[in-house]
Amino acid sequence: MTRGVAGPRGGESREVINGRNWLVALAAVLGLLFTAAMALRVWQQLFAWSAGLDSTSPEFATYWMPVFWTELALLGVVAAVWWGWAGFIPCGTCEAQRASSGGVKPGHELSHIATLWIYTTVGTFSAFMQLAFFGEQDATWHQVAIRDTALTPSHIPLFYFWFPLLIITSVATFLYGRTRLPHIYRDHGYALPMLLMIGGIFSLFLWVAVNEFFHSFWQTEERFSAPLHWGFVIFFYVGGAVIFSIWFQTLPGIYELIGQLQAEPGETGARGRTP
Amino acid sequence: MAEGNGFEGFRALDRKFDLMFLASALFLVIAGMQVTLTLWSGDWDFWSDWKDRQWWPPIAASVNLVVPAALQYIAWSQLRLPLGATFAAVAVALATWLTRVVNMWGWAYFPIPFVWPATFIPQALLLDCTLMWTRSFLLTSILGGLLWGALFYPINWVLLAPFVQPVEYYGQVMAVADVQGFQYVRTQTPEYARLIEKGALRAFVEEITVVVAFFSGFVSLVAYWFGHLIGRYVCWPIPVFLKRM
Repeated sequence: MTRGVAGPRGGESREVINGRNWLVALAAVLGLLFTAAMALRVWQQLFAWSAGLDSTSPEFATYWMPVFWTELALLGVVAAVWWGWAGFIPCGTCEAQRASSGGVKPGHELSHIATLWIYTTVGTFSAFMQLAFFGEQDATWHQVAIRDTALTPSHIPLFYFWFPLLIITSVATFLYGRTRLPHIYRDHGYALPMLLMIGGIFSLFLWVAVNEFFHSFWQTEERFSAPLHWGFVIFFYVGGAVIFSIWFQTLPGIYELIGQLQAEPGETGARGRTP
Repeated sequence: MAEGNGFEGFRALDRKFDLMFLASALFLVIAGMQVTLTLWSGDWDFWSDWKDRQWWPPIAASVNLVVPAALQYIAWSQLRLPLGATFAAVAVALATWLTRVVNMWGWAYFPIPFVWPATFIPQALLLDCTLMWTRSFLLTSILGGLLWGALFYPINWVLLAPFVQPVEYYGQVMAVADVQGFQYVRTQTPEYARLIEKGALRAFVEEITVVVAFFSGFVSLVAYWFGHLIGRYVCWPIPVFLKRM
């Protein structure tokens, strides 16, 4: 996301920041997630009525169980790779810049902040899919088909893809913040918004278990404003509202870093003058 | 550093962060609004036969004020932008129509005239304008909250009116929405699970809609402070970090 250009006397290079790359990366990530959402939705359209009404039927085992296992396997791999890279593999560029000049260059740190924001966008898109699109879809499906198990055509994408993806993203955001932006998310201890985000979002998944427990023993019908659903709202308030805090936590750094870039001398050697 | 050599300028850099924030915040606001609408007011927004005079105005109006009130606090107190509630209302309008068309109609084959969502945009505009004019959260909660709840039914009357027309169905007089409800049986349709305008003295009082409007307004006033406190304390780190700027 950054490249250097020759300085005024052909000496050390200056950083050039191209924010367009951030938007391209954001668009690519959202495109990938949107494709996954559409693929799941199309699968539901094709096979929910014909093969998804009875979880004991051979058709269900043919068309829905593979989706379930694929989701779990895929997300397991994503979690292992993403957490491993974000949490245990340091940034080579940061280390090289610290070794050569004692600190990370402002442009490179800005790119880390932009990447963190892209991570949170993965999270908010997952939340949109989880709690809005596929969440209300779950209400729709269970108005017409009473659940026989926790695995239904609406639950398989909702509980076993988008819910885990949001948890994986929240942990990855936490790890990335601690390793790539240590002065914000590590040097002063654990950032409370990050912990609330992970705790609230993980509690959402715990509430899935509560939800299925109550539905199995007490309330088979799907009156959607019933108390057994209220925990989803409360835990999302805790885990989702703090994402605003995570963004705003980086705002002072963004302004400071852009200020540092503005203060760098231009090619004439004077501050801010056009070459 | 000057523009050129691939560098687009600092203002453009600022705008990149603005765009990333807007895209991400839109998804977050939609998620918050729609999870509240779906799980706290749920059936009262899903079905036309649940849009009664007893429970729909106080429940649907008040619970769907929580997130707009929180966003209004964040947007006004930290950014001085009087658009938090309107942003939330527009976001949920887009999202609910998307899910009703794609899922309720496209997947479960419920007709859109049966599953149309209520609108909150006019009330949200009034709420934001009230804050802009009064510059006081207290006055906004009283005036704006009352208006939000009281005007919910009249504003959505435009959408509801066709479905409360009387019809005779198997010798009984009922509303068009009731007939829709009988045609599209749902898992919560058994009598023990329905909560549609029940009461021992059903509609005993004349002008019941006016009474309900006032009650909705007061419940919405309470809900406004619930949302305001969520915005103030769950998002508490926001003012801490903005003060450093």
